[in-house]
Amino acid sequence: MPKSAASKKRPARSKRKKSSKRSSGNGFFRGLVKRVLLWTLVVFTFLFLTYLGYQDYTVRQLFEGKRWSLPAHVYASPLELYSGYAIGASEFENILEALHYREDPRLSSEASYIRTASRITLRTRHFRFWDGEQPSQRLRLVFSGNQLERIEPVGRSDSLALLRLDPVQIGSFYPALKEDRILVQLKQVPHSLIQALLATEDRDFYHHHGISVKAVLRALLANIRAGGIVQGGSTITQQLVKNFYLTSERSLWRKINEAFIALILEARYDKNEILEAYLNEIYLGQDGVRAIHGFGLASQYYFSRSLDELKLPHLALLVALVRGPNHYDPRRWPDRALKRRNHVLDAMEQEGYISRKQADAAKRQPLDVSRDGHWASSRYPAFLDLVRRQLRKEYRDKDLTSAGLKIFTTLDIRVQRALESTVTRTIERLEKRRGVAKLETASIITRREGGEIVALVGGRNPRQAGYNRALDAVRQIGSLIKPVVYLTALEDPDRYTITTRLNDTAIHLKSGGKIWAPKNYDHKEHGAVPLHTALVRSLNLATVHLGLDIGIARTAKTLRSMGVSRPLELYPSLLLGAAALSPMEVTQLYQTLAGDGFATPLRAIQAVIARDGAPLQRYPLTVRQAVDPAAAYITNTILQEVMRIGTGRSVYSMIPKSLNVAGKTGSTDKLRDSWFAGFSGDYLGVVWVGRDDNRPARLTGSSGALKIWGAVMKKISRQPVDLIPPEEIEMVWVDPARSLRADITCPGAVRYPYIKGSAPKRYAPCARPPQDKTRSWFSDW
Amino acid sequence: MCPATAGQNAFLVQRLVTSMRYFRFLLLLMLALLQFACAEMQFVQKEAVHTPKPEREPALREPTVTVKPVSPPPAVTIQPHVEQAPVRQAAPAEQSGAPSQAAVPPAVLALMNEAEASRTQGNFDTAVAKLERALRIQPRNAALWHELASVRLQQHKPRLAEDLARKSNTLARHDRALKRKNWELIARARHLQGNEEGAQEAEQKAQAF
Repeated sequence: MPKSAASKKRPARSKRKKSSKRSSGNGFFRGLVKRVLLWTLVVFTFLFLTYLGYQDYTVRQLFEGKRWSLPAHVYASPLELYSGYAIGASEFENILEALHYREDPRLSSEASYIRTASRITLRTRHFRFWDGEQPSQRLRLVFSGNQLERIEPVGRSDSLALLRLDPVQIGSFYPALKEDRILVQLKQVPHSLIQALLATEDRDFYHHHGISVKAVLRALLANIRAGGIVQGGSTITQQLVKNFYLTSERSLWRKINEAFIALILEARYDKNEILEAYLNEIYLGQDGVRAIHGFGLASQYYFSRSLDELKLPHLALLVALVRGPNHYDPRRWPDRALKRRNHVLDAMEQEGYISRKQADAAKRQPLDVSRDGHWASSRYPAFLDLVRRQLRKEYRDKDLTSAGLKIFTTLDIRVQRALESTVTRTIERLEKRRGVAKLETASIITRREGGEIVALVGGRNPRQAGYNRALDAVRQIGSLIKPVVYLTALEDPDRYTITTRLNDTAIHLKSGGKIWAPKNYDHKEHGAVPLHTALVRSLNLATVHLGLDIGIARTAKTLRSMGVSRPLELYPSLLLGAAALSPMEVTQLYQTLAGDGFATPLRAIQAVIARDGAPLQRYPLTVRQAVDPAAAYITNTILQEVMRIGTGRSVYSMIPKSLNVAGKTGSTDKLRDSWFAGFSGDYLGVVWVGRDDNRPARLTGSSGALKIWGAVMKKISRQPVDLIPPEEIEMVWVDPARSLRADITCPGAVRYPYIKGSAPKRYAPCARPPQDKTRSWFSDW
Repeated sequence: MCPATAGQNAFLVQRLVTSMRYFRFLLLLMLALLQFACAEMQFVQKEAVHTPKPEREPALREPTVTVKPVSPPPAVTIQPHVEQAPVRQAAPAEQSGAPSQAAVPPAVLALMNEAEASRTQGNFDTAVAKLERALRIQPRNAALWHELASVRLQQHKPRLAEDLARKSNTLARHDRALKRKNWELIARARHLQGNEEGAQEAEQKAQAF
């Protein structure tokens, strides 16, 4: 707009030139000149009014409606502590540091703590969760070893059952401009801050009309005296206007603009409104890509406290930063910052806001800034990518980045950290040991029940944003599909039980004009094998026979009901995992097994609330019975056997046997992909290892992916798999060699779970049917 | 209730023990009675007939209870399809993994109480949130799943309620009272969905417990 105003001026000027030519000493012309001048004046006034009107409009746009765009903040799942929770004092201290709690023996503010050996006393931070406010509390946590023993409210003798800490912020969604702020209201702001501000920046604030001639002259004088620029003549109003503009170019035109806008601001709005806007707008620091705006956020950024908890020297330091947040950065240039802060204190004393004694006392205080104010804008890029993708389906981009949403996710910081360190270390080791390069990986860990994603890694370097393999690497899943084939068969107990004999014999199929002749991994045939053994040893031929017998379409149907929605081609090779899925889809699939046959949609978000705390969206826990729980139970018992004696047995060199985990390895042709999917009592994990260019990784499921899985489960898992047989299940003794019903007296008899009525009916010679037994009781007396 | 029955039977036995001729018959009869009376406890483990000891075993285990037979047979007592896994009584560490009937930690109790309070005030969403937090602490507590189902039913989400109640059933182990409550809830949920036949079926199942 300034441009168009300028271009309109030119014709006016040329008119004037013309008119001056014609006025060559003639009365008539003199009248003409008058008229032209009058018209010029009218045109000028009109243009000026238009300009004012436009600037007025701009000012109102800036001031009214949504004045600031606030980025969305994304939080990890909060830590819920209770007596018996497995966490040591040191680990808890780490978490407090991640939450920017300050060590402070007096607990003088929220978010402070003090540790004495195995006790941590803390004052928690007030926080507004999606399901309600949580006030600040003073608590003492007593640890013993790696366990939290009890939580005691300070000053009371009873103990607290449960403590929910405020959550760690793991990222923010910004618009193009990465400004961050915490809005404050004038009435919340300490008086001393306002006084310090007025004393140093604008002494006549409450008396001028936007620009202060007095201030300009005073600044001029001071600058001449000092021989350089030491003082600015801008009023607070002018500084506010300057901050509203995005560019920092210094032109006369802009200065004029600013002056007019300042005048309009003053005319339209109350002094206090202007001051409040200033307090929230002013730029006070830089945290990586994030710009710190306003005193509310600056207080958190520099002192890890809220504004109303700051003392005089803190407030003076914040005001000192107004002049140049980078030049006076107290973390980088503490001496400069201290000098400037003391200057602010002096100015306050001069203006009579504080006494000499107060000023001196404040000057003796150290800067007291927190060690690190950094909040990563994207600490876990792959997980945040997932969150953003999900939210993009439901929110407009503008709302997502500037409406100040608070997004509560399911991420568990401790599990995520464990996964990240494991992934990085294990991949390097695998490369060295196998002599392969450029290995990549994707790993997802969820809670066994409920499907909450607690950790996610999209590549070997978890800090790096980019190709998110956890969501986008769609790769053949190999033997990971086998449990689905066996589960489908077990759902038909009249035909298949855990001990049914399967044919592990060569097979040739015509498929798409080509002959398909699958082989076992050991290139052998194993004849008739019990169903569970075929899965435990991951036999391809037996699986193909079984899958063809029950029908490929039925297996595909089970896949769909277990949560895989990608369309799949119904070739026989589907039975051996020719289908390509992403790690995320595999996780969804195995979540149904881990959930005892109940499908649960995977979730990365718990809830979203608006800037004012109003709940916008909840993502609650849902389940759907997807497959027969009895068949799922039998399948899971076989998957435990896979880990005990089958392809996954090497895991028990890493984790204790008592965890009794269930899982399945997967490898593809030429060892291009190494997969593992499995669960312990508390977590489900899916790991893929391979190369982006799809060349051989030279790793099987157990020599690659399982190494990561086992190492991370060792760190995070504490609950054993505890399968509960559904009512339809009966445990029956059988003679495994001959598939005959046995009893406990038979040598080598084993108990297997069967769906009621499906166990072998014929008895082995060593066992007598129950009715015979009763008869024998009656017969010999 | 079992010991009482046993006591009465013991009295009968004393009187009739004089007649050795009927002793064996009576013993059988007694055993049959005992079995009948204790049937409630044996619905999973048929072998328990041999050893009518209380089912206080650690909850964590597969149904592979290693039964001690009267005369030690040469059979290998192992977990299903384990070739040589040692016979294991659940280790103490494993007990914590079986919360369904075991001690409910105070944290979960506190959340359950808060959920109940929210629910009586009609704040169903808050109640759901509290129960979900409790489930995060004790994910396999069947009672929590039931509570969640019940709130969801109050919120007129019968389909979800039914699935949640079914989930509760798969985790309920020997808690017959809870299973009955779940089936009753399923009956109501089906009724709300207009599935009268299914509702009746569920009611019958409820009565079986």
